[in-house]
Amino acid sequence: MTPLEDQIRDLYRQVTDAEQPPAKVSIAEALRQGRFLRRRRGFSATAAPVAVAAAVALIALALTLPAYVHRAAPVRPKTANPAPAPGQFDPLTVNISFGWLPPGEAAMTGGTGGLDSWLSVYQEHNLNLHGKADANTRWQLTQYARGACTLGASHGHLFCDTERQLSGHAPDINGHPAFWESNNGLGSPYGPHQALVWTYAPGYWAELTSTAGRWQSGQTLLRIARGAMIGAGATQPVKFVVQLTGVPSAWRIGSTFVVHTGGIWLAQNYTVTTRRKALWGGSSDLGNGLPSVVTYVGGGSCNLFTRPGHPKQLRINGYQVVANTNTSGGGEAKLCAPDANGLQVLESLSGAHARVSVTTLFQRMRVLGPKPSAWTTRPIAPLVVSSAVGFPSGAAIAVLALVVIVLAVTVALRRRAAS
Amino acid sequence: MPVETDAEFAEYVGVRLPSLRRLALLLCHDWHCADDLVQASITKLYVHWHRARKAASVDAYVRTIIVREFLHERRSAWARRVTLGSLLPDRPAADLDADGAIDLRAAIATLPPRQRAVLVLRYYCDLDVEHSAEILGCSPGTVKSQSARALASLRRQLEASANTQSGRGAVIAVDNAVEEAI
Repeated sequence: MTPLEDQIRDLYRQVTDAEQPPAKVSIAEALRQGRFLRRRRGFSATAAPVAVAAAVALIALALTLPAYVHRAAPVRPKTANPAPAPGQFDPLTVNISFGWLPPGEAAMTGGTGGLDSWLSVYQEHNLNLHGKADANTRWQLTQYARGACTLGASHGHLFCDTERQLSGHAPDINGHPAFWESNNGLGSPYGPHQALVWTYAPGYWAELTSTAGRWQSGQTLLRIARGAMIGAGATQPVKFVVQLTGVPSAWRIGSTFVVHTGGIWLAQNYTVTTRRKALWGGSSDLGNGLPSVVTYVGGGSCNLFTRPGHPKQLRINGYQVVANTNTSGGGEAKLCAPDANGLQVLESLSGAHARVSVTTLFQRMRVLGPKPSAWTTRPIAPLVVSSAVGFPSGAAIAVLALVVIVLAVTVALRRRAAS
Repeated sequence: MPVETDAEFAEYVGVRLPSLRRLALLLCHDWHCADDLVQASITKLYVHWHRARKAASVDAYVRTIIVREFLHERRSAWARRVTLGSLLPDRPAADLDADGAIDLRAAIATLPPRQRAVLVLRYYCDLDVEHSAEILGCSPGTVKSQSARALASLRRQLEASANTQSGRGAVIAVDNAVEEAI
């Protein structure tokens, strides 16, 4: 050990021994953003093989009906808020609810769109708990779209987004087969958690997870599961505090993260997609220049938006905003309005192919304010479709389809060569 | 993600937050940057929590995230600009040759991010070359060379500082056996 090395150690010790200022780190914020990122990752991982399969299907279509490829426009949904389709969920509605929960508990957050839709019961103040396991009562109810889950041979496991080991049959849930999940709780300070999966309709799976911290009786889980309402009978609209206007007509909501406030399911985070049929919430479009939007009622701080990147203070539609462009990692543009009509609005556009800037998006955004009476169930109101600003035309879509076909053929040839 | 892991994650971060902030402070050299770094790192930790909780050491896992996130951020043009004006720690050392410590801090602040990270891993986290290399995602040889360059650079700067401030008594002994010590 040299004197200089000793000096460095001493210096580090002195610096770290000094009193720390209050932390600006928020665990709740990390959980919120982490959940959102996690779901994106899951969606992207499953989207790739599905994209290849879609490309192969496109080739078959191109071979049999060559003219169709160039003429075909994506099929428009029949209504703005279509009922849940067999293979996906409508991102504009929450169509799942707890019919019964233990006294004092209620669903607080959820997610809509894509192949799964879910609700969570938890107590926010417990997110910073220190060992108070018994106070951490939580439930999560998830429904999966048809085909999203596969029951393994001999009913040993169920594969949805991840694999669940099944420990055995559970009593039927409203006449449908059900199974207990096996979880020995290894690595968890709360011990084993309980989970139940069942088919709520042929081909559709639902899952109820309890990580209550105190051991809930199986009867409680069964009671909650039997009371769960899934599908058209439980449909409630998702409301939005901002509305995107003047955006391409192909834009639609891909998935949302919703919070329950004042009896309303309010979209806090959402992604935009151009796919007519969403794949895991359409989040595979993230990175292709389509926006994700986060809104908080009551305003907030934009400090975390100032780096890395090139932040600019701007005034748009009378609101102070920070726009930030980070050119590394494929390019990402962000905009943060700390207090726009009583709302904090955050926009993010990632990928090198953004056809509209975050500032333009904000210029065209209707900020509806904090009053629930002003909120909307139509988050996107297309007004302008202009090829002048580079929005995809029929020809562009045809070129894109061609690119997908070429990629799919390349993949197929490589696989053949490898085998 | 099963919801129980949320509480597990929150509990872990709640307990470890002070030590995570200390590590971030040594990398960043100011509390604002340190908190931003910790915020970004624990968000990533949450995304990978299912893997982290199964790791042999969660602390080592999160340390890797923090260091790599720091290096990633510092690669951006914006961060490089900020680094030129980076602040010294808010509180100067209370004892032990205060001027010398300030010189040393200032010298460390001028080091490239990777060299700074090497010093923190070696002399604050007390990691050997192999473990430091693992965290940085490079070879042990690179850690050795980065460490040697960092120490040599510090020595040069401290000597220059001592020469220009006669009478301060903060002359740093020159040690030519750095490479052997690593």
